[in-house]
Amino acid sequence: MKLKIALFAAAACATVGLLNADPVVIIDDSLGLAQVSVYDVPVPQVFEYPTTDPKESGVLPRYWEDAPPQVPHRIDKFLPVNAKLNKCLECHEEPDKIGKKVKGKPTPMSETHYVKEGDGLVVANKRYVCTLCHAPQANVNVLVDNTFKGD
Amino acid sequence: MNINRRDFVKTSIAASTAATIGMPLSKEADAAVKAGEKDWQWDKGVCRFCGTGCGIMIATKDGRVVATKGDPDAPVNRGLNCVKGYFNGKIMYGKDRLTQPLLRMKDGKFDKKGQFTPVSWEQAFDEMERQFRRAYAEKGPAGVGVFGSGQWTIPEGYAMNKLFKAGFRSNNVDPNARNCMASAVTAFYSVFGTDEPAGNYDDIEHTDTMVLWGANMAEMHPILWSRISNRRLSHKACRIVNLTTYRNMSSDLADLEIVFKPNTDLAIQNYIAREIVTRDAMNKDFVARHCVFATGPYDIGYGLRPGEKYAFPAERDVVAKETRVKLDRHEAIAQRRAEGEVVEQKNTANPAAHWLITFDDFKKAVEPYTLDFVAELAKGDVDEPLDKFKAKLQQLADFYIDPKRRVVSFWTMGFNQHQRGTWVNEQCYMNHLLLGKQSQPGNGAFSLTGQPSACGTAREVGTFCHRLPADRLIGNAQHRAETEKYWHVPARTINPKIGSFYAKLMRDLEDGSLKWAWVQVNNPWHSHPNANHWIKAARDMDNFIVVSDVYPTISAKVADLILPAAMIFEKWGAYGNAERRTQAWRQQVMPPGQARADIWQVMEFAKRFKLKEFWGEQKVPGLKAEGYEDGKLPGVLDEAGKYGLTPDTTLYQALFATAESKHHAWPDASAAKGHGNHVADLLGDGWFPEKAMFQEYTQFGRGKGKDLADYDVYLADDVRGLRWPVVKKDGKWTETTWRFNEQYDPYVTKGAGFEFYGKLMKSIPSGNLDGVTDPKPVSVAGKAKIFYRPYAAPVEQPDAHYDLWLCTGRVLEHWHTGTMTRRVPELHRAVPAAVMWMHPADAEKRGLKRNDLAWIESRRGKIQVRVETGGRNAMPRGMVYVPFFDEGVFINKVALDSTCPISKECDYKKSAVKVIKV
Repeated sequence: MKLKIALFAAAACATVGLLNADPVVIIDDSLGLAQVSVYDVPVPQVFEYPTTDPKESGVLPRYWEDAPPQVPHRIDKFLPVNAKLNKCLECHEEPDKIGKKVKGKPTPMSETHYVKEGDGLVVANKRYVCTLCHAPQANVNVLVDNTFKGD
Repeated sequence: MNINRRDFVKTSIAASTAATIGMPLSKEADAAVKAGEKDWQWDKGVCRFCGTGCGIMIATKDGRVVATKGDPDAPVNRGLNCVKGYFNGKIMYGKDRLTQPLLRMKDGKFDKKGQFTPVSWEQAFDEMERQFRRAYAEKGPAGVGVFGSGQWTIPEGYAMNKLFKAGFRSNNVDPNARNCMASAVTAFYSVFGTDEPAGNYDDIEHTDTMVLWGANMAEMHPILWSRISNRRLSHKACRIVNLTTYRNMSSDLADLEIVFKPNTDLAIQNYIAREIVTRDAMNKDFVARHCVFATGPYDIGYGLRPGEKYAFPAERDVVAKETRVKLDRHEAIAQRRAEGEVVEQKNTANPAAHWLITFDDFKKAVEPYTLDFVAELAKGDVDEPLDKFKAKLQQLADFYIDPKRRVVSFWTMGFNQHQRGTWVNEQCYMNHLLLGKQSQPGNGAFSLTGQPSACGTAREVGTFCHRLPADRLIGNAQHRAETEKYWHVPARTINPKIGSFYAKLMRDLEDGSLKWAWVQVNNPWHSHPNANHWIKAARDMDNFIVVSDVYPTISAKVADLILPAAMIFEKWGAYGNAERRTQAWRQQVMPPGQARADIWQVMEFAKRFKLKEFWGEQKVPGLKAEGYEDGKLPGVLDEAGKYGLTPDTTLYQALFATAESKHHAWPDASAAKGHGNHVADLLGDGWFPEKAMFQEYTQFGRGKGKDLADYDVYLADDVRGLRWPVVKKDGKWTETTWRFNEQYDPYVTKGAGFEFYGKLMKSIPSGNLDGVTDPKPVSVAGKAKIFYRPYAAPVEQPDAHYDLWLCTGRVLEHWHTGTMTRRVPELHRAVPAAVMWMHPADAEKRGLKRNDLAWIESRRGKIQVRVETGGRNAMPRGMVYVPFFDEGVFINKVALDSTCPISKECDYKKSAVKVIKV
């Protein structure tokens, strides 16, 4: 990890023209997401998805306001979503509560997820498979920090 | 299109009223501009990931991307993105972005055994140039090469192709798309004579039946899956079939799931053909008017490097099959030969040869593929009763044959990454053509792609070792001449000898025949199978490897020089998706530090060389072509004057900054709309490189059925990509929805109804199922070929020692080698590491349970991985699945590098492995 920090320091120096002053060496094995030699076989760590019950989960921060929320609770018990059964909708399909999130209650799906049918609203079929956009989050550290800022 | 959010939303309301079912409830809500977004600048863009080609909107503020969203006006995705697509903005901001060239050095100079040291661009190019000259002096055009990409923008791929093929006179340019859809290409060529699909994504909304052949679209093409689920749930008659070697997410919505044994898709296709014929369901009129029957040799090998010299000892038994194969019972029946017969593989050098046969021959050929034979051979789940499997195959045939049903077949890697990939692609067309269900809305065989510009750049620009732009081939003298004309270079500048394909570039490094390689926008040392060989070749052989990338990948780790590249929205570009849709975008923000666009790197490097270094006579061992002395590429410098060039003209001046290019001035008054261009600024000579290259490239396809509009058209506010051929109709650029169909395609002769007008491979000999009987070429102009191709067993199969099948591929949340998506915390947490999906009984047999650590080992290498017995995939007994995105679970050290002998695309789906508890 230290070596990686060295890389950024070097890059920063170079940009302001200080490169020749102090060349920094970056060990190849320290690069990338698996910081081992390409000849080595790393040991993958165990990871687990949350087993939190939906009733007890909070809400995860969004990458930016309109981004699809990550799933804060377990979903293993509710999958698969198939043509006959969609357990996600049992809680999140609440056309009369759009935009009215209540703490401790399921987040109602946004209006983008419905289409008008007669006088009412039904779930848009193209949005039916929830896991295309919404994923639960395992309790692991990030591999590399990300400097994105949603303003 | 520099507009604020309010203006943008206004235009989208007007434009999207045409959207069909699934239109979001209220755009009014969307139109409420949030206070914090007032100073955001929105512009259109394209998703960086798969071949679907979703439109996105990008918001920038103070030189940074601050948000992206699905573009409501994009016809592909209509406002939706998948879980990856939403993070297009975030992939650019991983903290370990490369911002400085890094060269392996020791004691102040380049040393292959040295460690990476930050250097200036000048120093980086100096060493790159020195090493290039050394390689070229020693080996000529064959000694240098490029690992290119289906993620190159169109101008980038075009520029590199031109630099190598016209400048350096080397055809060693091949994209990673070779490992993605080369089998699709070879089948498009052999069946239709021209590349890329007849249909488009609108087929989904027009069809009743969608058959997935080895395409887990729910994970790999999520937005198309959203359109498919919409169709399935909105149209009562709609049925989905998932043909796969293990149960996956696409099965969840499927009405029929068929789990088959690896490679037996070849047999299932022939079973359907046999049913069509025996049920008298063939569309005789369509076939008589628009098709012919054909076949080719069976003894074509498996695309392995023959001989034992470079094989690990454990690999030798499999490699030996490249020359000699003992037929098993099923192959024997399928190929009308005797079980146990040893067949010399005599046609490995010419596997694509084919000839006309009669319908009676075809009928005779498919006769052995009875339900009993195919069901017994193909059943992939040992725990499924045979009768149940038989009923499923019958149901599948019924779906195809039912005259009231429209049918679309989709496929990607299951067909393409296949030791008989070309054959199985051809077979899919076989059934659609027999039924006349092709090139009509809702009816057709549809080859999908996996990379954002596999079609647009790799295929259309022709950045393969055997291709030139717009369906032209290196091996065709007329095509070379046309290309030379468009490039304003002397006749016979282009080397007529085909270069090395992707797998061969690796093999060339291993045997020392390739001395210098440049990698752009891909990660070959992570993604190419049998990786232990190639890592050794990179690190131990005397060669120089340059890797241009945005993050430190496995390929960067084995390189000698790393060049920091710009990411998608840090440069201008255009991509082409799987439905022939070309989409362009503007530079939105500057690349970080000293990172620079790939096209700048290509052009800057070209400044260092003069024509006289390459355009004199060159030795090219093995060159054999009409009008050429063997082994010699003639000097063309004498002709250079005609084109206003001198021996001292630089490649940059001759190929890129030409008088014609300079007509496309930078700053650009019409297209730029205030957006910067770091490439034009750095080159600094007043022209717009991306636009100039695109415009030059459009010459190749116009009038040839590959017509593109002008670059500015794609940038217009009201355009969300156009599907080629794009031809001017009443002064307006008009796209083509269904090719080869008179109703939609302006290239079809009036009155023909359908016309398969592709020009390649349309003059072939005649014969029977055993070979050519009359070598005189017959013209089959305007027709498609219905191929008979037999079942062939995979070259490596589980045995007592390596007792499990290994299949590799992707997961929904990560893209390709994970170098972008794994740097997005949300996506990393969604799938933190690759696991090995395994049947619980197989795990138990090995003393393993979920999350246990196991060795997975093949003849080629071994790695460690955690066991998963549940989750989204359910493996049949005898097979495991390991995704390849995770460099910490380096499954390509284990996977086999056999290819389709025709397409040279690797088969990542069929290796034999053993699994042992750690």
